[in-house]
Amino acid sequence: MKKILYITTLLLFAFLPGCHGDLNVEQPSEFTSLSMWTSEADAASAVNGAFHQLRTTLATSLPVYGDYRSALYGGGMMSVTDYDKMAVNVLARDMEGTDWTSFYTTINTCNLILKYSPTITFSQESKKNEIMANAYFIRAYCYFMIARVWGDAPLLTTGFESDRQDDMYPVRTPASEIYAQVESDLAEADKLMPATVKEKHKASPAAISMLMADYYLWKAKMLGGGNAALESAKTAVNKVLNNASYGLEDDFAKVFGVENEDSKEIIFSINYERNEYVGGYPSYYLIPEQYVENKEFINNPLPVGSHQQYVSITNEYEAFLGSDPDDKRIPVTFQIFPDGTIRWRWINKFKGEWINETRFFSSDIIIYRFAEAILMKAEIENALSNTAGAVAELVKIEKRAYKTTSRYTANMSRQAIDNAIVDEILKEFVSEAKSWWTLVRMGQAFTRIESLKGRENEENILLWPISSSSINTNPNIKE
Amino acid sequence: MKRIIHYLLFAGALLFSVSVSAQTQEITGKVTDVSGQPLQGVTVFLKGTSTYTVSNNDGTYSISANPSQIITFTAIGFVTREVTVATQKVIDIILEEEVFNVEELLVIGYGSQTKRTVTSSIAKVSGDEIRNSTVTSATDALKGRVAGARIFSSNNTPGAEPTILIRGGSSISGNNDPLILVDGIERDLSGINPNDIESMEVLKDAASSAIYGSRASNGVLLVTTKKGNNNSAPRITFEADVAVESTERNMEYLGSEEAITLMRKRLIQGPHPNYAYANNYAYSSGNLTSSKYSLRALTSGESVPDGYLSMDDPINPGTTLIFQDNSWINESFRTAIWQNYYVGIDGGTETIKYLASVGYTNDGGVAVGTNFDRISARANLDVKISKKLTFKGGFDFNKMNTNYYASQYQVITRGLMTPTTQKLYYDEGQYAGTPTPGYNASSPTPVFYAYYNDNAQKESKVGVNGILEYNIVEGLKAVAQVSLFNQYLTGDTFMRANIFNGTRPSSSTLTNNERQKVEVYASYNKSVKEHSFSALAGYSYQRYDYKYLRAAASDAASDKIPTLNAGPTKTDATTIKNAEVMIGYFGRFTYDYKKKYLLMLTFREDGSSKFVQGQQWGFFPGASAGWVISEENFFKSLKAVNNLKIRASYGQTGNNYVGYYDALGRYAISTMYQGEASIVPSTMPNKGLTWESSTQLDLGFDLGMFNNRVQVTADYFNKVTDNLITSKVLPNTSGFSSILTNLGKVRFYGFDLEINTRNVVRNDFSWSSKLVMSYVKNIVLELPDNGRDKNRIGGYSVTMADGSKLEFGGTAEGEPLGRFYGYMTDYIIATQEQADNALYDSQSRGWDWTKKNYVTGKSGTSIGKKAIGDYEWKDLNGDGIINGSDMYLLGNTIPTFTGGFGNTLTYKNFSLYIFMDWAVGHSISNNLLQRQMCNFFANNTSLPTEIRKAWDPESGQDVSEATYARFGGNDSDDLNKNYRPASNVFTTRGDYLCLRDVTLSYVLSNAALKKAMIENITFTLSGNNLHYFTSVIGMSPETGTSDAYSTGFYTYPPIRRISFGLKVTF
Repeated sequence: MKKILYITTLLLFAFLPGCHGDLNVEQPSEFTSLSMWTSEADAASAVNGAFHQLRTTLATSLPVYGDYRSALYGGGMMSVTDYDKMAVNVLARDMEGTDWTSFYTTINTCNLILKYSPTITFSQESKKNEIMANAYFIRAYCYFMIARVWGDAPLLTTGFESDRQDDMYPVRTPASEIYAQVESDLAEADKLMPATVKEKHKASPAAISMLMADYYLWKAKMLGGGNAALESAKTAVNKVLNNASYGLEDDFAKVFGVENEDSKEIIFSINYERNEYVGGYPSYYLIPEQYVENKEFINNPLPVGSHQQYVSITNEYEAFLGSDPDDKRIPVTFQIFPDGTIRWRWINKFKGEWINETRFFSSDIIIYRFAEAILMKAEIENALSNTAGAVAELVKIEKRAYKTTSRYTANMSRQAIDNAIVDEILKEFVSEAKSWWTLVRMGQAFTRIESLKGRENEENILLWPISSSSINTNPNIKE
Repeated sequence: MKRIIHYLLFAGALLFSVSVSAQTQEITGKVTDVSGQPLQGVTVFLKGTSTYTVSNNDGTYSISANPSQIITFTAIGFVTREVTVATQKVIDIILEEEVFNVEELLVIGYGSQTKRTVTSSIAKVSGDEIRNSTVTSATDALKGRVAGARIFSSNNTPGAEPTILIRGGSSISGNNDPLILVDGIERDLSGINPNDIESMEVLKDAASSAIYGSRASNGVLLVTTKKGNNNSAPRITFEADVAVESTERNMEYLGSEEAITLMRKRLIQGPHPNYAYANNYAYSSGNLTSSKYSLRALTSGESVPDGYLSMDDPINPGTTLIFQDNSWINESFRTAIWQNYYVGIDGGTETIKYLASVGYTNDGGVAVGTNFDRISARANLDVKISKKLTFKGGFDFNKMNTNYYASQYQVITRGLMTPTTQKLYYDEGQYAGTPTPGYNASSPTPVFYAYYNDNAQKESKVGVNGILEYNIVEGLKAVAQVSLFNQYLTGDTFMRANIFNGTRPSSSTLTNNERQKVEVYASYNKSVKEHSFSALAGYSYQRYDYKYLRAAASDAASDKIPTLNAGPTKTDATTIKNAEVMIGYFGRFTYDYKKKYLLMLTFREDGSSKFVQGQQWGFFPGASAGWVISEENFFKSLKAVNNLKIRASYGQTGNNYVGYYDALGRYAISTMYQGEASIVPSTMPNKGLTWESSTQLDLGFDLGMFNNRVQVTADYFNKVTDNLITSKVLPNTSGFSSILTNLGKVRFYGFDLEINTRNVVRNDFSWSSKLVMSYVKNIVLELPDNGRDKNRIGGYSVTMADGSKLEFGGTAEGEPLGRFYGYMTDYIIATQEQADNALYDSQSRGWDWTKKNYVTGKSGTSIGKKAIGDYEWKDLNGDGIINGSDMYLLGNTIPTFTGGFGNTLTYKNFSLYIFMDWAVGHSISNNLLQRQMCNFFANNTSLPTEIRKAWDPESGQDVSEATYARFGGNDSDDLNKNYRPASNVFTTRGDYLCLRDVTLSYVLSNAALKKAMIENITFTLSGNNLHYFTSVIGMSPETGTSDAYSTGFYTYPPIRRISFGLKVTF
């Protein structure tokens, strides 16, 4: 019997190849928290990841925040209820645009980059600085958007790696603290960013300056920043205007189109590329192919897409944009084509490429371009009571748009100049998500937007509601 | 063993012996089972004499008897039959298998046990029971046949495997699939030929399944394939089944004339009256001949073209409209042929047993462009090397080809929205002769899809299994088993250039799953007087490797070459590799006293590589006991009861269904930015993650009454899963949506009942029944603390009129899983006054069809306003506004009560089997019907016949006669959203009773066949999925759902098969 037990035991354990260690399997094809953040390349890829997340964040929301409340855009051949509501400034919880998840997901990646980059050994210090400057830049962009859209909101700067972290369930921080964070992040980005960087799809010294100018102009007009903020904005915008790498294209048409994405006018754009990432809001702006019966009109002149036309400019905006037939920007901006009983209308910018009879919405989405720097300068100078300086800038825009130099003169009143700046921005940046911020900043939202007239005193009227999921996933968030 | 039993039976017979009278004659005959298989070794004796014989290999016997004598046929596992000789010279006899046989062996984990000594809850389905089902997969044949298991098809595409849910599963967010072992190899049942199956045992309670430890929480399905028999001549079986298959039900649509009449009237009352006259609209009189829509006004002097119908324009009398009436249902679904062929050989000598088979199954596919075929081969070999050493080897190979819709949502759900007025093919222009496209790229007509897409999948599976058994001394046995399972899956897709996509994308994927397992164990049995012991101890090591490869390309110059090399733009190149290791130690101890008091103890210690060191190991014990009360003396007087055993079991099992990165976290590298690699954090690490553990109590009894003609097995169970691997929702500011944690508790409880009866047992007629019932409920006991009421995850939080919060929906403590919510109708607005005073409906666009404009409300917008014919929804929180807060409980997706009822009637050589199964308690939000009634796509959709039940105020019909609100056209995009929101309107109870199988078979066996060396031939006429008795419209009722329109929901209709089969045994 003893023998039997002995044999059995031996037989059993002969097959146990001391293999408990085999349980520590390493998965070969993905990064885990153990293998990430060990080399320079990890941090560089993470920066690309953050830009990818920013791209996803803004893909359809950019004009939701920047254009649709201005009442300049409405339904196309078909309409989206939420967009219709935005156009009349009826905002409700859980509408598109009320959810901030995507911004915070992007911010979290930036936070992790800022946490780990200092622990990684880089081949050159400047590489590390560029990576961190990018993370500061994206974070500043996101928080600037968050503060303007929702006002008070969670301020998170540490990066999450466990559900037990202290700031897992944050409260809404006052907007002023978020703006302060934007300001300090921009200062860090500006300090760290190597002067030689010429990227267009990522942060660069000029891109950081544009965001700074945008921020300080907002601070001056909306946050009581006064002349000090205007001076900061001026310093920033001057850095761009004096940078020889950038300038105004002579031909407005040369700013848009996939072939012009390296234009000297582009300061910062979000990369869209076939086989990488296509789509976004411009896909809502074209005529879907299936509606076009006369196939000979396809791309001659009708640029067709495959998505429903959810959005187009309103009749009023069309009339405003077309009010001056000398405006060379008109055909580049939008087109109209009568086809039998139908009157096709579409926004012509960002229409991507037509390859193999198929539309790819692969146009880069421009965030900042040189023309905006000029108009910002005009706005700053006018606010500083330097009307001559403001008009000088306006004329630069006029010269390209109308091929004239006489429309704007130094004897115009400050109000007239502000009005002219708003008009030019509305004409220059159609579908570039600038109209709402301009109208608000210039104090014209309550005069120019019908559905906002007389509503100046409504609390938070310029802000957005927050989504149910923000409240439901975090009891500390209150409406 | 068998021989000993013969002697015993013979000895028994002797007791009753009297002297044999004269006039004897030679009686011959053959003994077969109900399926016509000859039975060898049946004891044939003359009642009251000592004369007996035993049937041969081919089931034949011969015995001398006189006409007044009675012949008794007895065999273990079969019901004894007696026949009076009378004038018969040939007595062929069919023996029915005994439904309940206490000596019957049940397969259990790492061994077997007799039914008598089993103390846990195990259900068995024999291969014979499912033999005649006209199904591709054995899983399909299990529907309704296992007490405690719910088996249902969520996808009816050819070759798809049904889902098995044993006792409701065990988890909330984790996996609820049982562990399936085929001859010890872990795999799914797809690819296994049902003809090769000997038996399927379902281990339901913790005591029976704890020996599989960490994988056993959802129950275990043990499948045993057929082996050869000792000392039997080679037997060849050939089977052929051919079935005609068609849809059991599908959505029904209005014909063109009725749809045109309705739509044209509605269009001119809607916001786009021009759609009734412009070119390129489904219901427009102004289409050009080049349009894909056939409807147009007949021009003067033109005669009605071939293939066109005509009618008077309902909105423009005097104008003649011409149109086609194309049934997209008929174009999409056809009658197809299903075929199954099988050849098997088996036999054995004293030392070798063998079986080999080859099968071929082909499902032509009812939906155009879908089909499935399978070749399966199997060989099982047992060799007795010496008295002490046995080798058992098994090999199986199967190869499956599948053509399927990559998205049923696109091709069926949306594709069938193609209006009947749309032409099948363009008849002029650039695309002349090619199928017309659906409304957009993501809703192709099935014809268009099949024309432009190839979507083929090939799968091959190889299982190899070797067992060495060594009988060291009497009672002590050591076993080593090595198995390898390898699955290769290749998929190729190609899309030819079409109107929506001219880039000709093609892709190719290769998936390889490899599972290697080594198990060694030793068992020892010993009986001392009336005490019996057995013990088992073992070790298991399993490694699983996964590899996935995908490449894709586009921009090929022509449609001619579908492979990647033709596409110059390479769009994807991915490989993913994963590996997993599992190690386990297991043991079992059983004890019984006089086979009356029974006890079993089981354990397993399991380690899994999915967790981080320190959290890898788990211990899973099980214990069960039984008391055979009927063996007690005090019980013996109860003559009606033959057998009564009560059982109790308790134990713990585990579930490790987490991803490979849930413990360590993941940074995803699948994205790019400006052509450069990009990495984003995608899974938050949780290094403390570990097993889910389920604790299950089972109380049951087995009862046999009236000579075992009534057999009842009943079990109550209560299964509580603790340490639930729960997806804990994180604040949306954290960068992650959720994290997996071990938090929470859920309870599944209910009962299983199986009743077998032999209602009539006569010489040439018998009737037996099997009734199976399962009742399962669940309740969430504990969830991660999140500060909300009942720690609710998801759901709704509604502010009521008095300021209080009403929380409901999602998953919450004290509530069952599967509930879903939506709007609730109050009434249909019938007067203008009601319309004017209607609540503000945040989704309504405020179109008033009587005024033909959007009603402008106070805020200057039409949004929120209502018109006659609209639904007035119930306002839950009384705030006067209908919005996402006004959600009512609509139903639950999980049925509570399921079961099956089978009857077998045998008359001479005929046998009739009728089987029905049911599920009760689930609801279906029929969004398939709902969306089709929404008439979106700019009004260019087909209309289901249900639309006839919508209220038509203009016809003078009373509103109380209407099932639905007024149909106005494009409800989604233009109108007042009566149909579009999830609501009670389209939610129906999913309760069904399915006439699952009806089989009539006839066994032919005679001298002429014998001459041709044929033992017998069985002819079978069989129907499968004949009819669902249900109120569900246009789709299968088997799966409850809160959204039948979601992209992942399968809308392939249920399939009915009527087959003719032939089985020849040589």
